[in-house]
Parts: sequence; C-alpha cells; structure tokens
Amino acid sequence: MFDILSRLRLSPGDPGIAFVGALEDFRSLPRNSRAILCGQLVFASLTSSHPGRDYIRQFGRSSARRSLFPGKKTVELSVWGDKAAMTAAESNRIKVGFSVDHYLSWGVSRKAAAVLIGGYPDKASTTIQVMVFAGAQLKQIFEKNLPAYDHPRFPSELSYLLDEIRSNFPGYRLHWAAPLEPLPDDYLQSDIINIGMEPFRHLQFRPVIASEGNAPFLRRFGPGLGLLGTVALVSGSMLYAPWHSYRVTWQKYQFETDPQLMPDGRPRNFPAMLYRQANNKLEVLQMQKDFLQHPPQQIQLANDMRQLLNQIASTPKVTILAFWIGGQSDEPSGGGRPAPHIAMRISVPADIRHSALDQGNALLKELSERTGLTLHLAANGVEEKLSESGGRPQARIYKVEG
Amino acid sequence: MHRVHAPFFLLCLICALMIAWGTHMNLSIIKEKDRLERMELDHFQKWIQSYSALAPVRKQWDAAYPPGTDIKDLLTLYRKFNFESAGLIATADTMQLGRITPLQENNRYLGLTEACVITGNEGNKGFVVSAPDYGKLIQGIQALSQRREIRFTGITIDRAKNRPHAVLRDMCLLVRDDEDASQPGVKP
Repeated sequence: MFDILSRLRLSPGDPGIAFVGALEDFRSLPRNSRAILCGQLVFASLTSSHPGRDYIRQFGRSSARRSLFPGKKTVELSVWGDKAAMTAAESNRIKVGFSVDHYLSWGVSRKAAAVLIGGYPDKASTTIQVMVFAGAQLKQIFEKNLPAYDHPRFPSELSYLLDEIRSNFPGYRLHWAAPLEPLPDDYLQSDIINIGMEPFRHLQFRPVIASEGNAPFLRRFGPGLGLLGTVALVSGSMLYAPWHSYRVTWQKYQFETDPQLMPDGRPRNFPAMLYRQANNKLEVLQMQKDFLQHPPQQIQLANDMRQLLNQIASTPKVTILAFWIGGQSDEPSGGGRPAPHIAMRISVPADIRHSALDQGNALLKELSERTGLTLHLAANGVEEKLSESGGRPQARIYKVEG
Repeated sequence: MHRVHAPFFLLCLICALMIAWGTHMNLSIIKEKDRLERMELDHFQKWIQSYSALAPVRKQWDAAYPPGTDIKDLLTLYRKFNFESAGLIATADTMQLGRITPLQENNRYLGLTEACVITGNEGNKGFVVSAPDYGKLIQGIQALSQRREIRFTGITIDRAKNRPHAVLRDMCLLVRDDEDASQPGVKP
C-alpha cells in the first residue's frame, strides 16, 4: 500500500538527492552526488547514550533555534553517523545531509508545540523517528522500529504507536513527514497531518566526521597556515623590492661617503670627509678658482710704473726726482681732490724765456702725449730752483699728478 | 573545511590581516625612505663630480700660497718674501710686523691671511726695497709683482736718497689657512 519514496528531484535539471537509509544504497551512490541520510544510518539523542561501535559521533547540534543572545543553555543534540557510511561519504566525496537536521530546523522554527514523525521506510523494516518540540525547542527524540510497509502487521503497529504518542503528549499535534509515504486518509484525524517534504524545502548539508580522534595536522591547521603563509609571502614579495632598493642605495651611500675605504681597500683622505664636514667647501673652492684666475693686482702697478718711467725718462731734459704710483702719495695733494693714481716730481732746466707756469704747461702737454695720460700740475706744484749765485732760476721742479 | 581548527584559523586570519596592514604601512614608508636616500646619494654624487672638477684648484692653491703654519717668526716671514730671487735688497733688521688679517674678497673669506710688513724707520709708509741701480730696482719690483703670494698696493721711488730704493705700500704675504677653510681664523 505504500510506495517507497527514495528519490527526490527538486527541479528538472537537478541531478537528484537520494534519501538513503541503507548502507548498500549509500555505497552505490556515484561520486560527488548528494544524499540525505536517514533511518539506520543516523542516530540522534539528547542524552549521551552511545549507539554502539558502528557509529561515529558527528558535530553536535543545538536543540533550539540559534540566537545571538542565548537566554539559557540548551541541551545539545548528539548525532551519530554510521561509521562505514561516513567513510564512504568521505572517500566518494558525497555531500551529506541528515534528515534529523531538517526535522530539527522545521521544529525549532515554530512556536507551537508539535510532534514530528519522520523516519525511513526500508525494505525489511520501517524506522520511525519521533521528535517532540515545544517552545521552539526540541524536548524529546526517540526511535521505533516498525515492520516494513508491506508487512501485514504494519498498520496495527503503526496505530499502536500513534496512540502511544497521543497519550504521552496530549494536546500535541502530530506531523507525518517524508521520506515516509504520506498517511492514507483513514489514519488522518484532526490531530495528525501529512507535511511531506516540507522540512526538506531548504536542504542542509553538513561536514561529516569519518574517523575517531583528531584529523591530521594539515587538515586542522593547514588552511590557517596556508592563509598566513600566502599573505606573508605576498607581503614579503611586495616589500622586498623597495626594501632591497633602499638597502642598496643606503649601502652605496654609506660606501661612497665612507672616508676610510676605497674599492681596493686603500684608505682615502677623500672629499667625502669634507662633504660630511662642510657643504660650502665647493663654494670656497669655486671662489679660490676665480681668485687664482685673476692676476695679482700689483702686476698692473709694476707694469704701469715701468712704462711710465721709460716714457718720461726718454723725454729730453726731464729728470725724475720722485715717483709714486698706487693711489696715494705721501705728499698729499691739496684742494680736497681725490688722491691721484700717479704722482711724480720732475726737474727740467729752466727756460727763462717763459714763465714757470707756461713752461710747466708745455711740459705737461708733451708728457701727456707721450704717456697717453691726463696729467695736471699739483697744487703748489711749481718750484723754482735758483742758482747758487742767485738771480736767475736754474731748474724748475714740477709736481705732476694724473 | 572539515575539522579545521577554527580558533587557530581565526588567529591566522587576524595575523594575516595585521601583516597585510603592516605591509601597506611599511610599503609607503620604505618607498619614501628609498626616495630620500636616492636624493641624498644623487646630491652627494653631484657634489663629488663638482669637487673632482675643482680638485686641480686645490693643488694650484697649495702651490700658490705657502701654508700659514710655515710662518713661525719674523725671520721665516722675511724668508718667504724671498727678495733675493727678485734681485732686490731688503733687510730683516728693521722689518716690523704690520697687520695680520684674513683676506676678504667680495666680503668672502677665501682661506687666506695677509701678513703685512713695514720698515720701521720709514714711518709706517711701507716696506723698503733697494737695488744696485734703478734698472734692477724696477725689474725687481716687476718680478715681485708677478708672485701671487705677494701683494702691495703702491710704489714710491724717491731719488733724493743716495741709493736706488722703493717703498712698497701695504706689502703683504698671503698665507693659506690650512684645513677647514669654511671657518675664518688666523693661525698663530
């Protein structure tokens, strides 16, 4: 009277998810397929009771709706998986969901008290899983084994079970869920309804634990270490180039400014020392260069002197008594004029046909022509030297400036 | 994902974030340091280039001017003038030390000091040099004027004296102040 619903398709393109309650069925699943484990392959309990050596404990489930601020500590629902099935799931890379997880989320998502009856219809027997919810929390969970659907005693045993549940949880509504076949109409009363696939509307897949003890070191710490290593590696490679560049520049700078060492190990009394000491050394050097390029100022002085002396000495009759060059003579010229560059005292024989001033002017003219300089008589620059016998001037002495 | 040690993974994640953040911070710092260091190196290398180009100046300079440390007393100063090489006659007996001042050229100190001399009995007019005749005197003064380390600002020749002689005004010897030329100062 019941057909075994063992396979469910959510959409036309979906490869399909099998409800699997037997190990042989599970093992025959293709790789990378998806399956909801139910029936004998899973055992769930709110106590710490151990279902036996064939089962391996999975991650615990919260028996109430998850909350950011849990009011009180809820009892953990222990879930056990068939060891062989878990191993097969891992080796065949099968995505595994547990029917008990789906029932649980269905139950804790509703406030009203409810009893959910799920399970798995196997060929030999039918596993019935009963979960009692109240206040969005799983209160009780237990399993019953009934005969197979087609067994003659199945209807009576089912009726007996339902009555037992009703009497134990009076006032609770009973919900009959997949993968059990929907209850025929004659079972349905006001307090029991078919919900079918409702708990499986959103499929949940969980990681499985296939072996006892800790997972291998790499499994546990590998991802973290890998992340850390990758980030460190990326960071390092990003930092290395600029850092290396900086180091190279720095070393180069240190080396080049090191006053002690030359590439061949010779010590160098090098400008590097000066660079560190005095930055204006260059400026001084430049000034020294300029200074060295100019001839000494007195060369002009000496040359002028020689030239002038030659020119004047070659003038007929003129005798130089004294000569000054260089801006100031020790006999200052009067009249507040600037000190002459050149000054000299010259003596000429007196020409009595002319006055001393006239003779002086003529002499000046001649001298100016010879030297190319603008010469003039100094203030009080005329002096007549009389002969010892007296009377007529013998020589006239002029002080000339220019 | 299965059986990953979650707290450890979280720790690694935090560390990784810190490393990433640190990298980000350090990257800009290092790049800036690198840039500054390069600038400094560049500056130095340019300095060295300029200095190398000017290096011959130092040799010329050292050749042109005697070091101030050579001048220990009046006699060594007199000898540095080396009047004999110019064919001039001078005497250290009446020579007196005049001013000693750092040489300023366009108000800049060049690393030279002027050590000036006067002949005492000439009334501070200058330093007296003489020669056997006027031709030699003038030649000698010219020879003297060619020398860089010697400076004078005026020449006076007076025939009134019986021996051909000339008074050189502001007669100074330029000596170089050694080492750190950036600091003005006179070596004793």
